[in-house]
Amino acid sequence: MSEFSFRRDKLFFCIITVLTAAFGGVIVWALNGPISVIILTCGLYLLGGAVSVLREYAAKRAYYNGIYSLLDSLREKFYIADVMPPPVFWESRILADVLQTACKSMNDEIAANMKDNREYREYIELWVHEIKTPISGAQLICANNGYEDLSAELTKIERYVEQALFYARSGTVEKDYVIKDVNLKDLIHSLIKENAKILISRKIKVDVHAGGTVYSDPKWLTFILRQLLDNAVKYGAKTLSFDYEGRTLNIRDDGIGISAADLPRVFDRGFTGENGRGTVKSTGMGLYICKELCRKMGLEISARSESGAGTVISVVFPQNPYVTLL
Amino acid sequence: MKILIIEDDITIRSELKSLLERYNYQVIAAESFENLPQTAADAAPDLILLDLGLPLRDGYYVCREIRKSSGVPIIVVTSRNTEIDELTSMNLGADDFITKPYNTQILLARIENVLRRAYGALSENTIQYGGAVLNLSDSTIIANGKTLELTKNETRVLRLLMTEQGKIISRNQIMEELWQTDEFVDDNTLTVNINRLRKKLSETGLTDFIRTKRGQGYII
Repeated sequence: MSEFSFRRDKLFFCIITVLTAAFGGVIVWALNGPISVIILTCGLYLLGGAVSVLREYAAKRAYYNGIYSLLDSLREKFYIADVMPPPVFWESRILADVLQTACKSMNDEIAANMKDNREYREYIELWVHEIKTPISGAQLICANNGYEDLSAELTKIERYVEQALFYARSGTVEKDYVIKDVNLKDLIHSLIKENAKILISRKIKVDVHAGGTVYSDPKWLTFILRQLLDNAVKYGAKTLSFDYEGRTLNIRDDGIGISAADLPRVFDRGFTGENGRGTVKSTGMGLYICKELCRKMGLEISARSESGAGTVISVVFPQNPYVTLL
Repeated sequence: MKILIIEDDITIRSELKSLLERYNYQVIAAESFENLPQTAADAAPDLILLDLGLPLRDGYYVCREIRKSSGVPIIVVTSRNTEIDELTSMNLGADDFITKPYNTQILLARIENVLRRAYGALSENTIQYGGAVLNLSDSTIIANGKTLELTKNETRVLRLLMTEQGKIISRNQIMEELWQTDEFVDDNTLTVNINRLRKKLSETGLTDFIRTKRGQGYII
């Protein structure tokens, strides 16, 4: 509360007080009172008014400044009604009452939205698990009858389905992953085996130089690396390498690369860039989801590239999972 | 080797059955889900493929119940692919955990691994064709009274071609098979492997055992 606005609020009271004091002085003067009595009367009037105004100012200043600093310290401002100091004067009671009612209705609204959100996410999870059964059935039919082309298309469907699942997971505040020690080489090898068909048919040479243990959720990490592998395949790589050194995993390809203008935004949600609008269609979601998953698990992800000279995506793992997660 | 499939989806059940039968497994598929632990005990399989999302009681319960009376290897197959599901399955005594939709090559490799872990090298694991006997447990081929040592890759190539006798197997298919052993060989390496294998085979008199179908692949 600024002094100025308080002064403006009290302007009417001050004018009345001054006028009343002057009027009192005039009355005493008209009654032929001595000059000392006139001064005393006016003085007392003004003093009384001043004391009352200053006292009110001090009380309000202390109260509202307290609320402001509390508000500053709160990350979620809508909790102010629950933590504000008890009302000390009549106006503050109104403020508290209004705030509490407003915040409660806001909190109810937020809770309802969060519930909707959670239910929707649960539905997505359920749906994804449901759809995987017919996809598996169809894949088996393909394997038993040699329908390789159809199987490749089904694999694309699988990837999109999986992306929806991880998008739903990436956006929540809940911790729904398990950080454990992961043998990076085994994980990458499984990923390559899983993608053997497409890598072989595109004649992509694969190199893995990754030993040692990292801390991560293996399922999430697999999703992230699978996304990067998909991108490499999609954007014309002929070689793809995974190198792990000093806590950094570099996934390097020699595909078409990313232009300098697009590079800073490749992890943005929905960003497609030159490449994604060219011959290859992109949703702009893949790298965004990767970044979100990395953020949740305490990994760092970044991209380096030159148009025409391939791309390097780096994932930096924490030394010890507890350093960044606790 | 006898495999019991516990899976409620009819398509997956029947397709998985024919896939595994093609790879010389004896397969039983549970048709009812009333008393699965009993079904498992009666079937006396060497391995169980267990789906988690079953009607009546879920797969976790079935897994725990089977474990109470039997140490038979169990591979949990599920579309629930969180780390928690995997840890829970392993804690309940499952031997492996595979998520749907699975790559059939990977499924077969995992089954093979679990079986090898549980029963050691399989004594009568052989494939025969045209006077040649491929022994998978010690990676040898016997023909015309001669025994030849084969490398891991050579064994895998021969196994694929001999399992799919009479079918043309593309070079890509052979490479996929080799990649399953963590060796990501390229086209040139494959050519070298095939040539070396042919040379070896001809030492036992198996000339033209592997025939080339130009532009398509190989056939036995």
